[in-house]
Amino acid sequence: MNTLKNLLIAFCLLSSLVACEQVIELDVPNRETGLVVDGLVVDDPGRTRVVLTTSSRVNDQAPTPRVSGAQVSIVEQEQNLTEILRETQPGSGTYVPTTANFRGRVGSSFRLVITLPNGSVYESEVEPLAPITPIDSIYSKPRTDAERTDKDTGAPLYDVFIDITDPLNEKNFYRFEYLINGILGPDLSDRFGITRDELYNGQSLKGAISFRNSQTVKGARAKVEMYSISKGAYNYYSLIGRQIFNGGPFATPPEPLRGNIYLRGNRNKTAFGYFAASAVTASSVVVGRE
Amino acid sequence: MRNLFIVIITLLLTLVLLPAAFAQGKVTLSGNVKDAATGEDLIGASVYLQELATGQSTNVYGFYSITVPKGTYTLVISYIGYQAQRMKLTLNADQKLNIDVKADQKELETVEVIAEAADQHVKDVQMSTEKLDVQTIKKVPALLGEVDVVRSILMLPGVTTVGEGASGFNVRGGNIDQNLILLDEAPVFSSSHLFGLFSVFNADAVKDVKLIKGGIPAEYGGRLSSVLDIRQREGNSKQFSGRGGLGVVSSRLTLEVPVIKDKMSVLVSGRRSYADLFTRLSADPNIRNSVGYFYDLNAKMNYKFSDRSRMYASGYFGRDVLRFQGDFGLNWGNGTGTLRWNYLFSDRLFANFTAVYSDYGYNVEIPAGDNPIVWHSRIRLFQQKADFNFYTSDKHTVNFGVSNTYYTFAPARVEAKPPSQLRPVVLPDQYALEPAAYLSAESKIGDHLTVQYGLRYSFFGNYGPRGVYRYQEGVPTSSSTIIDTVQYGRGQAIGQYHGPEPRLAFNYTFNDRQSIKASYNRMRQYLHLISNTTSALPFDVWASSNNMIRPQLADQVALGYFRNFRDNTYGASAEVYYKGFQNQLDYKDGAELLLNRYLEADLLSGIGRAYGIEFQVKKNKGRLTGWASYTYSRTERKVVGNFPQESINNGEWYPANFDQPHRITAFLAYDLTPKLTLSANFTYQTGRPITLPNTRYEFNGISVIDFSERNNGRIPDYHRLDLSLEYTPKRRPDRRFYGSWNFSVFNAYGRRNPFSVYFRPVEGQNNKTETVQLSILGTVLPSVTYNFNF
Repeated sequence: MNTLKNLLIAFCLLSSLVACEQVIELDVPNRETGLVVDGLVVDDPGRTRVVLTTSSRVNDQAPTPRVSGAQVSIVEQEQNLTEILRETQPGSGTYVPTTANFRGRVGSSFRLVITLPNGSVYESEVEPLAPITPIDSIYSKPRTDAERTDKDTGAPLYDVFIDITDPLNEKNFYRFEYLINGILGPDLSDRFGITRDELYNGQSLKGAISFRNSQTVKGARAKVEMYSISKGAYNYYSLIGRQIFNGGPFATPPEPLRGNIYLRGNRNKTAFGYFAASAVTASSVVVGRE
Repeated sequence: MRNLFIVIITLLLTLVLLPAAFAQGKVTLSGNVKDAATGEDLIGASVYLQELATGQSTNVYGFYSITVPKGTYTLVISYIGYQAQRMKLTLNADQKLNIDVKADQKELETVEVIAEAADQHVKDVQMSTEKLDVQTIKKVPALLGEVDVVRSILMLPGVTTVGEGASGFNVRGGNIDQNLILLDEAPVFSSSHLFGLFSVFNADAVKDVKLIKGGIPAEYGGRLSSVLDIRQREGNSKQFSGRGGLGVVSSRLTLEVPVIKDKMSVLVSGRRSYADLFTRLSADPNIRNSVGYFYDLNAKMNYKFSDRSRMYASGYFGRDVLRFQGDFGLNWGNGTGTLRWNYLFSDRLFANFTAVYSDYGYNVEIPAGDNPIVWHSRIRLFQQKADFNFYTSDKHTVNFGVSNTYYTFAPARVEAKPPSQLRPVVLPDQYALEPAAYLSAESKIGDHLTVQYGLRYSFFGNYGPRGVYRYQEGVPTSSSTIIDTVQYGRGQAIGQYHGPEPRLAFNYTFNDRQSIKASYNRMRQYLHLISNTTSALPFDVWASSNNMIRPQLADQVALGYFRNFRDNTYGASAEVYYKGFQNQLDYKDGAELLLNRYLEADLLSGIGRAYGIEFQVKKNKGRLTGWASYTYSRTERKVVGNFPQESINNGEWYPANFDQPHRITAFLAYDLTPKLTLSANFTYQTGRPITLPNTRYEFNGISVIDFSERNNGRIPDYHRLDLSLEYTPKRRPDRRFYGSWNFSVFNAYGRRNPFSVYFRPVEGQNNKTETVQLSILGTVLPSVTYNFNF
């Protein structure tokens, strides 16, 4: 639906030829800031991590402050196994498992527990780690639509496609990350590409999932990482997408983003962010070399 | 309850019909008032008997009927913009009198124009009503020269919009779906072209525009907040004629053919925008292969069988069409058709039988690519009506009627074309019936008091065949709490509602110059426009009340003071109103409104309140005419659900999207010379509410904003000045063809008025947030239009 809306907005802007956007400074009252959790448990060793930060003023462009010195652990629910996480280095706010090669097992479910230096304890809801279907093939095609060359360099641009076969017996939710030459793209579409199998459950999808950014040029190495995610994570990520594309004449009222992390003993007090459990698969291709 | 209702009906019937008994021994003068040149019926012309100081306004078909004692009278017929006529009449028996009045032309400056009609705003019982004749609408400086009915009513107090380029309009705190927009009695679902930049009404085909904001008479129903009653012209019944124009945005042509002189005339009118004709010449294939245009077609035919019997057929069809290369096509629009038969049962009983068709729909087509689809959505209505005006005496009129409306809602049908792997999505059609009956009377009691009282009673039923989801009780409704699907057969009722809608209005006239008016009305509305965007989209669908969606309800009380100065040169008014709304739809966070099978589970229901005071001063006569108004108003909503996630702002009152407390509008037209008219309009209003961010955070390298209370801030204020200059060269008497030039400047001082303010990640640096202000028409927009008549 967003494509449709964006096209409309684009047309609206084009047709009037006088509509304009300008970046302004709006005085936004500063309200309370809070804990932000970006947590991920993955079935691939070395990828499980939890990043803790604090939210900041809206007009503040500096990176948000890290939360250092917290006690972080991930609990595997079925066997009640607790994995303690350690901060990679003091002040980084990034916490990784202490067990080398720690991996989340497909079919298990996980809970995150955080004790902040001030003693308050945050807990996540239990997240299931769903299996992932493999990427059947990955390939690139030269772009055929309006923006077919890079506007700075003039280099012809490509789009990268993957084919997958969705399993029939379950509801599946997927998230994608798109990397060029090993670097994760900066935009939402590179980091939070999401889809659900509602319209294609059990079918083989060919050419329906594509990736594009201005780095996808001949010879670049494009990599797609596909994550299984829970329905809750899907909803959370889709809200981020809706928020980011929500503007212009057809904006909807902003929605609060409620994640799955709460202050222990007070379900009304939530932390920002989400703790997700995923299985991951990846595939890569050299663009324009088929 | 039922007994009380019967008592009220009986009382009403007695009150209404009693005065007819006293009409014995009197005579009736009746007929039509017409434009002498074209034969068009004049709506709301004043027919006045000087000796009795009593009179009447012609109805929407130009008909009047006055029952008075035998005698000799001076009859004065007047209508704004026309030369008044005076005649002596001796009435001994019932008499038919058709009166032709001549339009006041600027060349005939010696003729006295009696604007008796101008004091109607003091004498009429109807308050909160604005009549705009097309001459005035055409003088209002228009966006890119496109004369626009909807934009000109935005200059009136009590009418607002969320921004330029927003569809529809808001009246006294009402949502845009609460306006009953009637084009020759056919309800029009969408009044906008190009997302709201222009309206669908081609002014060349329009005769008369009336906006009722309060004290809505009983013959109107089905919408809560206003009636915009637009009547199309019948066409010249005397001679072949036409009119048209060439503008920056579109061209227009209207032809009027008297097929049988004074008996049958036909009017056909068309308008089409033509920006796409120029984009086709573009060198850029993206622009060349994309088109966007809109068009309107209006047609009307009338045939006079006799003085007693007359038939009208009229229709409208309009579309907006967008195509982006071969990738994507989209079109939407309305169609209406009206068939009417006027019949005079007697000199005092005027009847009108109407059959109406109206639809609104959109089609989306993605013909190429991996997933080609076609997608349709539509709402359709058929209506039959019978309306009667019974002129019981010179002081008493009764109106009554019945109607029945049949609706078909086809919310969405998405078909996948090969090689698409997507499954088709079909949301089930819904069917509904809305019968209604009304009875109302207007009585003059003594010399000072006029009362209009009436009752409308409406029913609504939503019927099968279709499956209806049942949701678990005691938990928030969502698609995951469905416990069952109940199949309803054809004609089986899924949800039924009915209720009375009382209407009441008073006018106490102290003298010719001042009056006080008061009114109360209750309105019921069974349709809901499902839209949660700032500006409504062409894709927004209309939903029927059903087992889950209850009808909307509004009560309004209004009180006003009306006054004329200097022999009707100036008119002034002040009105206060309070309005309470029930069952106003709102939407859960994250609600998906399109293609949602479980739409009802995403809806919330709330209450609303709106109140305000409107001041207006008008100058009716002289070289300078126009008005200025100031409105203070508030519009608030409150949504308290059974669960915290079903409440908005913790169940507290919060300002609605179109809550714009202060509003100033002014429109002035000044005749510099008989050939040159300068006009200007000015609008100021408080910026509309938006939701401000609470705090910002980063999540996987993306800057995300946390919002808390809805509508807790405002965008900057809005103000704009438009100017236009109309040059009408002296008409050569030997030529039928004459033209005029219009030069206009929209947004004369080029203010970048904000439409909205929003927050988004910086492109390529999604870990930072920027605040963006969007202006839709942020520059000076000059235009020139040539209009012609023949």
